[in-house]
Amino acid sequence: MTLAQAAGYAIQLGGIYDGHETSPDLHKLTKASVAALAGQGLVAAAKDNYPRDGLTFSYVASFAEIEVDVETGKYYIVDFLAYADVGSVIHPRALGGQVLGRSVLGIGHAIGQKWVYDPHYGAMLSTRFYQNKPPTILDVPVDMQWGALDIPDPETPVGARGVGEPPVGGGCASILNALSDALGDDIFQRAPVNADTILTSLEAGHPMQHPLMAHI
Amino acid sequence: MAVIRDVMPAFELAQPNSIADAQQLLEQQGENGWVLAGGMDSFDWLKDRIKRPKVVVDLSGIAELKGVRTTADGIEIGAMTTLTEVVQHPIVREKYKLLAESAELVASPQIRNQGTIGGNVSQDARCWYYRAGWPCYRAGGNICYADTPEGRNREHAILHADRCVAVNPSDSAPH
Repeated sequence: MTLAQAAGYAIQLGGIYDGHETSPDLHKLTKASVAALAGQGLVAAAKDNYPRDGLTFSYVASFAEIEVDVETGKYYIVDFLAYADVGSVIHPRALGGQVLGRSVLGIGHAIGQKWVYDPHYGAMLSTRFYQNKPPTILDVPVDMQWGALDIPDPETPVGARGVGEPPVGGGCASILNALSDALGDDIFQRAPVNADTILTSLEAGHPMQHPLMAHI
Repeated sequence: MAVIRDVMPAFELAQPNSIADAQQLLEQQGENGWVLAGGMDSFDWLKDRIKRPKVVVDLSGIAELKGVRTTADGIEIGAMTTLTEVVQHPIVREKYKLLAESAELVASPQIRNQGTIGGNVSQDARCWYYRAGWPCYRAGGNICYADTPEGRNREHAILHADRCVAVNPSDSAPH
């Protein structure tokens, strides 16, 4: 039987086969999704309404080591480590890919990505990739490290909590903190930090960055 | 209604086989013509719909414009030679190492495979006001949007600027 034939048959049978009747014990979002799909084929919804005590979040702690050339303002990322607290580790390779991949995005924010608006005309200026350069494999250390605590989350059935964007903030902040550690006590609070920002900050003795002018 | 961006507009594509044909076409078309080499500069103008030429003359079919040739007192590099070819050519690497190194700094390998050396050194300024189609000095108007206290000009020129403060965007040209 092909999938299409199975779907047709399920629509014929209706009831529990095509999503019109579901288990009463479903999360309300799942219920809404199943109701929207009902009658379109073979639809099944697994139990997903587990007891939950409050909200849970995933965390990533990131560390970066950088080397700054104080004459030119150019800096290099020498070493990087991101440690994740995301519940049980189910698929290490996928988790590593996600943690390091998102860290690279965060590093990209710190080293050069920016949205630029003209304050007088309100028009967007950085419309193309060469004006808002994404990070590449050449911008990050060859050997980026990652790890995970692997402490099971008591609230989820398999102990995994999931990781998506948390490494981004860690990637960006770790670079900014490393720069501040290298150049003085005042923290760079805006990204990106480019060579000219570093040189003017060194001359002035404190971070020289435009105040945030546009909330995007 | 907002202007459509990032969509290639319609134009006629001419693909001459010889330099003479290309020159004749471009003379004929005048302002309605546009020279297309690798496309790395042209596509931005065309897709943002700032420039709307009627005829685009594609030079990629002209064999005489490609390749590196030795001459009596050096080498001659055809304008349509891709940057990758220039970077990897044995004579360039041996005798003109600086050119090979600076051409290798351009963008990324994919862009270097398609971009030409002629296009790279003659590419138009990459000031974001100019490229967004604003009518500045460079575009024939009467104002520079970057050269103001509020203009976003962090990447524009400090020295040797006349009316236009944009910098030369080529990596291989200054060398």
